[in-house]
Amino acid sequence: MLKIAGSVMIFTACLAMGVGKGKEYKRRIGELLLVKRLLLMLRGEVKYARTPLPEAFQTIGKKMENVFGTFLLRVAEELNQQEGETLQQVWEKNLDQVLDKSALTREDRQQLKKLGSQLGYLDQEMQISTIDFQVEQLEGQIKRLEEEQGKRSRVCSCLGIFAGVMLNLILL
Amino acid sequence: MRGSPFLCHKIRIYTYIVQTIGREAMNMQEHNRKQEILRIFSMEIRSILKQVELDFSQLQEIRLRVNAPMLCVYRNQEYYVSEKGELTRDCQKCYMVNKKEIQETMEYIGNYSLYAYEEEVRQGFITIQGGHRVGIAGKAVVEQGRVRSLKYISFLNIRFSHEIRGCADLLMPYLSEGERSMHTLIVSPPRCGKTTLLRDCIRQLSNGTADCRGKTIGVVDERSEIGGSYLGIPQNDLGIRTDVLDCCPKTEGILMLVRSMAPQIIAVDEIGSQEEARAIETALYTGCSLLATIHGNSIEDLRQKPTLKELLREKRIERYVLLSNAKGVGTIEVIYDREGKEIYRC
Repeated sequence: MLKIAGSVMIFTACLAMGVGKGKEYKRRIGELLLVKRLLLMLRGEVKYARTPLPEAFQTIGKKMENVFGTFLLRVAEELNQQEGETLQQVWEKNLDQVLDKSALTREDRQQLKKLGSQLGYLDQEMQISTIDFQVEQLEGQIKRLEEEQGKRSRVCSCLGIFAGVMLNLILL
Repeated sequence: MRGSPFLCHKIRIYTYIVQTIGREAMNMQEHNRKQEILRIFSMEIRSILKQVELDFSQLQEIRLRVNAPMLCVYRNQEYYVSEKGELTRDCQKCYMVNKKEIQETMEYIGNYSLYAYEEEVRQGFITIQGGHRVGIAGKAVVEQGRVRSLKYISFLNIRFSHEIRGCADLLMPYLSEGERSMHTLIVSPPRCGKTTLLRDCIRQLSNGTADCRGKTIGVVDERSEIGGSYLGIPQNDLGIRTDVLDCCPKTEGILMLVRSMAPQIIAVDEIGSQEEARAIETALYTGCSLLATIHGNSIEDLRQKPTLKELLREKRIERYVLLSNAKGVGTIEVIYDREGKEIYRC
């Protein structure tokens, strides 16, 4: 009886791990969509109101109310202090600190870091083009991930089941 | 009689408290101004300026040039700033500014977002929080014969705005006739304090004086110098009945304010173009009074300008206030009436 209960528990744990991995993938797509939303709002602030970056980050940060909101508010606060750090330094530092626990991969974060070095141009058109380029890249990535999502979730669930069965066979 | 020593003592205590609070408020104001000024400079320059012992309310100008000494104008005198933070006239002790410091300073001045100041950079200056004006020079990027932008910015001239309450006291009796405000033009060469005087006139006319009730004033603050607005809120006191259109071209702004805010007085700084003069004329026909400044040395100077020919010919302007530096910045030299007759001389 005890053996059966143990094997059920092992199987359930493995299955949950597989399904969890699949969900993490879904969460990553959700967060990339949030980044896209952030960039579109930033584009609007730059294009239509010519808002300086610290002010734009503050406005968008207040609207977002998630980890990205916290990130933008912290960047805005540090930029307003003007304590000798460049925009790129402040952006990268907070990206590493705040977005560490997000579902974004290292590759996604690297992509976002690049944006930090390309903000603050003198030319408004150039600034908008940079944001547009980032949005385009992001859209491509989201599309690719969404296409793979179903397949990957199934693979993760199957691997969970397989791992559960294998462990049961080895242990019993 | 028994109560009077006690009363005297009480008055002395109250006087002391009021004086202390006043002193603290002044110190706080001075400290805030210092912080406001220092935060726009690179860290290196900031640390030097922190050591300088000066009254920041008297600081007029700081000039930074790549590979040249840092200069400042303080109480109408030009000084070098040494590495140890001393004001000196000895060129050998001066602190040399490098390219990196100008770049870093530009980052702070432009709030890390120079695109937001594209139009201002094109004109060669940016107005920052507090109404201070930063003049910029470098290499001009020209497109179809017009300056599109500036790059390799290597020269900065930071001119600090001053809010001197009461500097227009002498002028106020001449600006009104009963309850009506006169069309007034403040004429002066650069750096004679015309914007400072205009600001105090606006404040007093808006709040009202003992002789005249407060008026609704519309200010078109094209360069953010009058109000020193930050996020749309004037940082300088422009009075309780003043509406400010910040960063708006004068030509459009004057007509916008007349249509939307029904001002009794329209106030603008540095009339320059014929379009602006035409917009002013239109506003005058709606019954608004004018309060404006213009560059010039004399009334004769104004007559030479095609900009104001019509207004002068029709004798629409009722008061001309001529400023100079004769007895310090903002000396009111002469006031003329509409016929050009002197009604006040310093």
